[in-house]
Order: sequence, then structure tokens, then C-alpha cells
Amino acid sequence: MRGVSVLGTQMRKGILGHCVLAMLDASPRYGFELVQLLGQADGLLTSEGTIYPLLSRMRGEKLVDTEWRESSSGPPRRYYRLTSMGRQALEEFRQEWTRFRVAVDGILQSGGNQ
Amino acid sequence: MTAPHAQSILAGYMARLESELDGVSPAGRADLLSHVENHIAEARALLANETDADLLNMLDRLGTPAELAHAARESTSGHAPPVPAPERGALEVAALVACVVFVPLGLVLTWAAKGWSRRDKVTATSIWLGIPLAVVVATEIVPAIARTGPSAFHPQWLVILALGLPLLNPVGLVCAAFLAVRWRRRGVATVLA
Repeated sequence: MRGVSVLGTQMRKGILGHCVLAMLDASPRYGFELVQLLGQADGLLTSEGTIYPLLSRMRGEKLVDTEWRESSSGPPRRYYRLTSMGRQALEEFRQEWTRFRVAVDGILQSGGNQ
Repeated sequence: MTAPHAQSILAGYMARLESELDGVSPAGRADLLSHVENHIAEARALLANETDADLLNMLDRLGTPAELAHAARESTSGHAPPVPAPERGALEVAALVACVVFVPLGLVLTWAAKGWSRRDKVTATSIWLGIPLAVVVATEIVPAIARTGPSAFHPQWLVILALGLPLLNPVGLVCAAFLAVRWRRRGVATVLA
């Protein structure tokens, strides 16, 4: 059995990207803003900087695209927004996650007894 | 107000990050460095009176250069195109069925299909030609020559062999079994590659 920290790392890897997609579904956001939002969710982001390679990867996979906007409080910000592919990936994840969560919760609560 | 050692703390972090990014593509490297510079600027803008400790805490939350470089490498490897699914075309199925029913057609389809390597195709063809030939040579030609000398060899045996080959279903079954196994293994190997 893997340690809890290893398990958490593996789960985060699969889930974090979809959480970012969900945050971008509400509105376009810039990188630091995403870091702050994810920081409010316990255990989702262990090192803030690791979100940036993830964003680059999602842009490469055309799940998100970017645009630069001027900022009133500093340098221009790179905003990320969902593409149609990203929206589709998010919708698939929502369905899969719901099914997965219900199944795991059921087993954890009942131990597999019907 | 700027922290007393802001310049050396931040320059040191960026230098270590650049050094850790060896092996990351130039585009991935430039992208991450740009993100980190923006992150630091945004985080510092939130600090009214920053201290060295504030900066060190901010960099601690950001992650060590090694952690970021590791994430960048993982992300880059994720850009690799998805592994193509193994060939599971109709042509391969048709070739296997045809090998059982009418071997020559099966082998023609086998050579046209992409589900087997050239070596597999040569082997299947050799099975088709080799087994009957070996049987005829071993059971007819060699004993006949041994009994009466080279004059016992009749070329018509080769004609009979050539005409009979397409009808030898047991050989076709062996060919089909070999191709089916090789097709499956090739598919699994492709997935695991």
C-alpha cells in the first residue's frame, strides 16, 4: 500500500488540471489568480509554481488559450480561458468524477456490502 | 518598500531555477521563467512592507527550483502524441478468415495488411510453402529416390503439390494461428512501447 503522501500526489496529478478547467469555466483568470484560488482548497496545490507547467501543457493541448491584458497594479497579465475542447474535457470529467465519487463513497461506507 | 536583500534572494532563486531547467525545451523554459517572474511580481505587489522573510516565505510556497523543473519536465513529456492504438482493422480479420478458407487469398490479404511485420508475413508464407513441401519430400520423394535412384523423381509431383497447396486447410489453420498470435503480441507491444 502506498503512503498517504504518495497517494495524494498521484490523485492531485489526475485532478488538478480539471479543477483549473472548472475555475476557468466561471471566467477567464490569470496565473497568479488561479494559484490564490487553488491555495484556498486544502491539499490541492503543494507547490504553487507547479501550476505553471500545467497551464503551459493545457495550452499546448488546446484545452485553454491565452490573451495578455493590461493590469492597473503591475505588469500585463496573461489570462487563460477555456476553449471548446477544454469545455468538453471538463464536462466529461464532471460526469466521470460523479460516477467515481459515488462508487468510492459507497464502498468506503458499506465496505462493499449491499 | 523593498526588502534589504531582495535583489540577491530573487536573483539567486532565478539562477538556480535556470540551472535546474537544463534539458527542458527552450519554449518550456522561457514559458516557466516568464510565469515565475510574473508570479513574483504579483506576490510582491501584495506586500506592503516586504521583508527578506516575506520573500523567502513566498519562494518557499512557490516551490524549490528542482520541484518546478521536475513539473516542467513532466509537463513536456505529457506533450508526446498519444500512443497509437494497435492495428485492429477489418483487413487483418479478413486475412485470418481467408487463411482458414483459402490460404493463397489469406496470404495476399496478410501482405496487404499493416497488422504484421514483414518478418511475420515471410514466416507465414514460409509455413504455407514449407510444411507441405517438407511432407512431400520426406514421405514421397526421398523414399522413392532411395529405392530406385534419381530417375524416380517425377516433376508432376511438384505440379500436384502446387495445385494441392491452396486446398490444404490444416496448413491454413497453422498460418492463421501463427498470424493471430503475432497480431495480438504486436498490438500489446505497441501499447506498452
